[in-house]
Amino acid sequence: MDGNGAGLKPLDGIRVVEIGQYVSAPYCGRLLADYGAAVLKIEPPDGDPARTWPPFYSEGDGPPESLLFLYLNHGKETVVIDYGTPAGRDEVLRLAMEADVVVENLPPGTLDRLGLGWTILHDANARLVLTSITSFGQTGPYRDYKAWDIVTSAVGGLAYIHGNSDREPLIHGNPQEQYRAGVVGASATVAALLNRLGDDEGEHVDVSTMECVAAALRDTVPQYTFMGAVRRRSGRGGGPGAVTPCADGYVIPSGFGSADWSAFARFMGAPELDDERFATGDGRQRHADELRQLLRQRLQSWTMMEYFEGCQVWGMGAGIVLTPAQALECEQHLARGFFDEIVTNGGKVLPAPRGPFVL
Amino acid sequence: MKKAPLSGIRIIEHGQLLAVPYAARMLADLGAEVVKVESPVRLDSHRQTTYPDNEPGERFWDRGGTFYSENRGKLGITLDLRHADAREAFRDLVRVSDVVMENFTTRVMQNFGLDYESLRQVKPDIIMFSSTGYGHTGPWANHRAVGPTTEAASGLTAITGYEDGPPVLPDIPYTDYIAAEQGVLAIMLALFRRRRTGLGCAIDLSQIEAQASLLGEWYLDAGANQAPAVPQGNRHPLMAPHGFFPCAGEDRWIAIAVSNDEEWSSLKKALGEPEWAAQATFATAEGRQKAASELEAALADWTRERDGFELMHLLQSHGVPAGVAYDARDLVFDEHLWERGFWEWADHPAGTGIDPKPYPGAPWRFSASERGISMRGPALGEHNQYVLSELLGYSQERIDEMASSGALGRSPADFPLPLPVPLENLVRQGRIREFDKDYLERLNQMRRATEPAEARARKA
Repeated sequence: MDGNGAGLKPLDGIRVVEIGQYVSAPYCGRLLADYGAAVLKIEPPDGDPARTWPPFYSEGDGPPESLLFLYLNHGKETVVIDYGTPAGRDEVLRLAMEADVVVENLPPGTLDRLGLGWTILHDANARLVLTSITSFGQTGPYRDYKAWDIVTSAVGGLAYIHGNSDREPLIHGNPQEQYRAGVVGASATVAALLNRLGDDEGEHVDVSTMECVAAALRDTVPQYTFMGAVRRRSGRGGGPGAVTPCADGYVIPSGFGSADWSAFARFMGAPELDDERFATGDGRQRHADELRQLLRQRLQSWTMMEYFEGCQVWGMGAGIVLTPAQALECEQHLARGFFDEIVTNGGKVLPAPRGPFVL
Repeated sequence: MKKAPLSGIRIIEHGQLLAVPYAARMLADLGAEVVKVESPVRLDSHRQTTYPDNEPGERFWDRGGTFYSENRGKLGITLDLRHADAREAFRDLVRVSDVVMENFTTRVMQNFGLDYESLRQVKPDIIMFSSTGYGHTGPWANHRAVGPTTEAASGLTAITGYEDGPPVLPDIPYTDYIAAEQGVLAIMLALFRRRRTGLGCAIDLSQIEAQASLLGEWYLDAGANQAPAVPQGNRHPLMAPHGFFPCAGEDRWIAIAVSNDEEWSSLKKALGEPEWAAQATFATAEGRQKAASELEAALADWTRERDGFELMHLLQSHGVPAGVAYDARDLVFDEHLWERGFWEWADHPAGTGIDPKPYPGAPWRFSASERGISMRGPALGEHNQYVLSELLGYSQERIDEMASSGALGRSPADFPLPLPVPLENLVRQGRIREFDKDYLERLNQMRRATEPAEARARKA
């Protein structure tokens, strides 16, 4: 990109040791690798358990390979060390002495029990940044509580405002909160590296997945602290912005704001929509149920792309629900070169998202 | 302690709603001085919602709770960039800043002559961060987008929803937050590189790319296996039970997830070894997965009459991953989050009549660096004088001229007074479960218990 970087990646020369399992620390390590760090992943003899997590791919009669593991650990070197043994522990300490960063997501207290706690690491290498990513953080009464993604989504307050009000709360379709804790962990790691430039001294960074979720709930918390209102989920069912079926998938009929309403009704070929009750945002909100019914009927004969592109021409930010398979073919991604190649151990070349931005 | 990681860094945030304001909020929490440049013509929508007790009041634009949540820690100025001298002030501010952040559609900054190519003429090492739905290049470069539509196009919505149902979006624009978190990483990396090379850069963040990056295994699966992408419900391919179970009270739930035989034994022990749980079918992970519906129905019968938090602590004490589906009240009064210093009290501008409230902090702690909410959020245009006079060295005459020409905007008092949020509608639609009549009292109690005595003394 123009004016950018002169070929230098931001983290060139930074050495990272990752003691990561499943998703959060491995994704943190992957991001650091994407932007230039040399990442060495330490796995116990049984391997990162993500190696046994779906989805899988087998080349011919070859063994199944976890695509989750493949994606999260792309661009790293790996080494097996049994860090539960004295020799293994010493080996990890030796690696940490030569590293700039150690990233880990073992349960709080595990490194201490292994003789690899913050004090020992800091004494051995004062420049080291240790980033610990856990569900509840390194302190507090719940620090030893266990969680999978569904639990962090729950205690972070997201699940309660996700789903339909007449049903149970809902989570996203993949371990989103673990991924995002990896992103946040990467930012906090770079913050500590930046602050090390002044005094050459590293520090311990404590990232809590519960807090990643709880910090990011828009008006959920202020609605309580300003009005005493306890928010719950609506599935966006009541207003604009609901997922609506169309001829070949789903669209999101939203973003009417600045549009000429009559023109929109003509574009939809829907004279019944050209009604002054729907012409203003306030009116659309007040008559949301009826508007939604009328749109539903009309949209049955529209394809996703016809509706999406048509709305954009009229200055409306409508949306489309793309599957990952459809997104792999999406002209916008292809034009921006969003997909990199990842090669399986069996030699299969697969398209995968590159780093989340180009620097 | 050492100073915060971004102390000495000045950031101009010309953002609206979430995707950029939330990112700038996180950077402010890391110690950056963030100057939020607001349009006085098109008020940030978050200034127009969540009023105290739903009363907009006279200066409604300074009473929006959501605004203060997303914009605490920032200075605020108003510039009507349609005026040449407002654009000049923006450029002058860039001269003394390190980072510019904006989330307008691609053409907006270009039309104002405030795009990267123009700004690097006045500040060669400026870092310019732009966040748009689909990116600044490609056939969708000028397409409009909002949080739900970027989540939908990223691939996440297709796999999210109840099983056998249509896709479902959360009630907040989730992808805006993910894009903000990726944006923070991008800016931290760019600042780190600038320290090492002296080079600035433009960052063109596409929100659908930021979100799609958190779906890697689904993209690989689509390419490798042509796997169909359908809503996954609350199920997990390797865990059963795995879901939300009803608890005592209206609309209360607990998440329970059992990943292996050890956790299953622990769960049975916590349940008191009931007969139904002893059956051989449930003894293996495979068996539990096959009979998940039956197992989960039996478990729900057990949780239904019990208090969610008691259950959570009971199950966790046995080593079973479990957590209540927290609502806002649970979060605000959670012992764990308070003890970790997650909540921080922040005040509101003078004259708004709003007492200090707890605000969510940042999701990280540093053993050596300072961090935290440095100041409350700004009233509209509160720091015009400070920024123009102190930072830019403008004469009072010039500032007065800008004020009278409208470059700093008019008072929003000329705007139509907004209506209170139609709360009855929200209750009817199921979006609000209940109102706490005594919420202020409860917050005050918490404040007395938690706000440092020193801060209270200083304020008095």
